[in-house]
Amino acid sequence: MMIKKSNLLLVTFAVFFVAALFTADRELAIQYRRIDLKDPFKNFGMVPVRPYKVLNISGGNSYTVRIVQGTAYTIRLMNSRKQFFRMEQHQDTLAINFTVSNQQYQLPEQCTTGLILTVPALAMINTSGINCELSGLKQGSLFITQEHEAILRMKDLRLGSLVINGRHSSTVTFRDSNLTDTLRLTLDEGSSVDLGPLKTRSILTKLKGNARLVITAANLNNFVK
Amino acid sequence: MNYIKKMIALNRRQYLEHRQFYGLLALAIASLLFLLFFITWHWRESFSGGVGNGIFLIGLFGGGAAFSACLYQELRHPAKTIWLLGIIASAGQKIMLWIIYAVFLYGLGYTVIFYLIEALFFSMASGSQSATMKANVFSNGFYSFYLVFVNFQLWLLVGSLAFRKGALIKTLLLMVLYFIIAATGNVVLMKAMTGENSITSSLPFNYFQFIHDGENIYVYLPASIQALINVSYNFLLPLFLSYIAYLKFTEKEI
Repeated sequence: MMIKKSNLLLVTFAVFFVAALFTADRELAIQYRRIDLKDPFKNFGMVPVRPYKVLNISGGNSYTVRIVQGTAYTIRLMNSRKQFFRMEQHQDTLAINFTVSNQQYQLPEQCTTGLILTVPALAMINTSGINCELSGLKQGSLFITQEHEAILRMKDLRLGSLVINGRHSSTVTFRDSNLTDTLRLTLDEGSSVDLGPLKTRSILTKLKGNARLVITAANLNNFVK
Repeated sequence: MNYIKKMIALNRRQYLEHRQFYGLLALAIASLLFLLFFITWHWRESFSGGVGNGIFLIGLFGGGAAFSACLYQELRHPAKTIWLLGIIASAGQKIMLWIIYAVFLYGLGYTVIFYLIEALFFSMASGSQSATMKANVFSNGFYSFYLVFVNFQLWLLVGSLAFRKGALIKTLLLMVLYFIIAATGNVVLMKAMTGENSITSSLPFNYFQFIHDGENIYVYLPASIQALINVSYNFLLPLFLSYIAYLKFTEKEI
């Protein structure tokens, strides 16, 4: 009995498919053996970037974006989130669109870190919709704008002047130790700032449109005399 | 020129003979989409992000399978196929006609219906969560599901030409069987090849994931190999399946 040409081709395809699968898995096994399990950034790949002063970053909140103080401008992107990352750089401005989805079931700080940016210094950060953690910056001044429910946690900052403009129910929370001479807050449209244990000499506020500012007793005790 | 004229005539015949069915199917898909939008909106606290994209996929693949089942039903019964074989057009032209309808026209028509229904629904159900519930089909590489859909429809076409009875069910069962074997079997294979026992998931020809100190670690293929696989899967496989469908149809002619 003659086997039909179409069936013969399908059988050939099946054999080729299985052989290709073994070859691909063998290559995956080689990649697996190359992983350094002690490397804290083993799930991340480097994205080349030039130095910049202004960071515009927008996207979703299901992955944390960490901006940390470092000796050079670097970007580490989680390998599994590559397709959610777009970046443009013009002169001193870096624009990132990290379009991961939005989630509501995890606390923001419990979300997996998807993007890590190290910066020696920054003049301005504009965030929209993202879940961000900013830590370690020691510089004269910093200007932050938050919108579209952006979430920002700030840690270990030493700043001369800090300006925060928030709207669209965005939130800023000061954690751990933060120190600034002057803090200027302009909050609108349901945005909020929790000063936590922040140490500062002066706070200038402009609150409207259901905005909230949280000042705790601990915070008041920490006012720099 | 004659080829194009024949294709236009075949398309015209196909449309005129089935326009009532196409209209009803479009209405059914629109109603189903509206219902799914209503359900996910009503219980929106129970759904995480990307709901719109999920609804889009249900309609694309579910509706596509239903459309193909009706489109190809005449292929499965030899008695019903006679009139089709008798049409003065080559086997290649007839196969091309089905591919145009099952893949391109359905894909295009469904996308238009989906966005119309979504716009209609969210013009009525406006709220703070409506933005996050809307589909975002043309970003983040999500549109690659269209390429998966092409292969899905072509496998259904091949299945319709290969099986005489219950072609849709049999082809879908074979696809489900493949996914089960591919998902679980490849994990077993990767465990054997690497000696890593904590592999939790794997996608053939793409990646596998294992756990180390409570952290999920992903292992990917090198970019060049992945690009080669993507080209093979998204472009060469559809050409191969189209050729298989053509062969199957000519074998029916003989």
